[in-house]
Amino acid sequence: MALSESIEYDKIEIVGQYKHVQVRKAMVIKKDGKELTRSFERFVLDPGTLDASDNLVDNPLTKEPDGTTDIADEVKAVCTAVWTTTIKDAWKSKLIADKSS
Amino acid sequence: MSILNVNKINPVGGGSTITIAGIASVTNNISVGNSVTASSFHGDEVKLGDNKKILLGDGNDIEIYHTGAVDMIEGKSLYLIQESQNIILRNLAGDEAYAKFFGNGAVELYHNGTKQVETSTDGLKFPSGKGINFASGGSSDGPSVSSELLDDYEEGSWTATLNGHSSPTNVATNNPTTSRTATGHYRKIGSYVHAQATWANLQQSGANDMANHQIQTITGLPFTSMGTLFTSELGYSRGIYGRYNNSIIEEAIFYFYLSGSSTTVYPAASQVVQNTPGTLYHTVSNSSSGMYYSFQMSYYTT
Repeated sequence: MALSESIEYDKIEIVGQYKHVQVRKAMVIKKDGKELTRSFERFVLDPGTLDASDNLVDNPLTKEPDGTTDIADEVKAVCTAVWTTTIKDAWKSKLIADKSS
Repeated sequence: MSILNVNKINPVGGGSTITIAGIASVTNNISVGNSVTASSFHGDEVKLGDNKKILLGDGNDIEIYHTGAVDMIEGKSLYLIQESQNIILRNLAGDEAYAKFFGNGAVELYHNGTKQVETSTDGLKFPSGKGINFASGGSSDGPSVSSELLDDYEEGSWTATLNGHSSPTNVATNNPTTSRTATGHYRKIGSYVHAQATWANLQQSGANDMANHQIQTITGLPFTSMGTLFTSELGYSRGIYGRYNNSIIEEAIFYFYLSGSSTTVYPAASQVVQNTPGTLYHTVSNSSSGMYYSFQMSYYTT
């Protein structure tokens, strides 16, 4: 009887006009190769944040929101593909507009 | 083997039974007025006309026949059991499945050739974009209904990050000096999301010390919002008061808001002062007594 635990990024979705990358991370526990349980953890990545001068700081794509787990390469690849300059500019405008609301 | 060729057989004497010990070969047709009894039948085809039946069982328990319009299998027993490793029901051309039954595996149901649902170890499993459609087809649902398809359910956890500034007089929302994470939980039903998180021990020297901090944002929602604005009230909490710069208003309504296309929640408070509207920030008391802060919100996602 062997138990194993693995992580799968089983959903990487591109959402909305600002191309948020919505990630579902599944923790899969198997017994002798047969899946016993699957639990989910979610996080969303956006193109960046504003600094104090309202400049957009690109998302560094280093750590997941838990602050310890490296962002998987497959997730990074999606982000870099969809976050074009146009998208970043639009996202920056949205963030600035949200500040004043 | 000897072959006997005959044109006519007449039973001899009073008997009416003809017994042939060997093999009888008939080159044309056999017409039988009543019944044929055999231990085994071999041939190329069995042909019966419309509404002529194959009857099986001592009590003619199952009937197989064609009515002229439809094909019929009528079983009179309690069960009609078909045993096979896998079973596929499909159209006459063989290119459109209706249902597939896999031994030790899933049962799949199809609509017009597209899989709609299958069984799994947990129950029913819907392909992406499929679900339960509650559309009645009538007018009772009202003209504003945009969808009656329930296509998702999910529950899990998310890392909620509480961001704040160490100066309680700070008035910006994008210059956090302190961030504290907590494991939150979510439920998603269709496009409806409910997310929650709680930070404990915000007091001085606590595990999540944010004493004397302006609270700026909560980030990391598990799904991006859609629509315009979502809001909820502050509930379970201790040590939170309303403040803007040096202005402290003791009567305020504390709330959270989330704009569209976002995963960032802004905590705020509306000061309750007649004819003097004002917006305050949630601020954590400067205390070593236990303090905590809980967030929950329901919103829509795409």
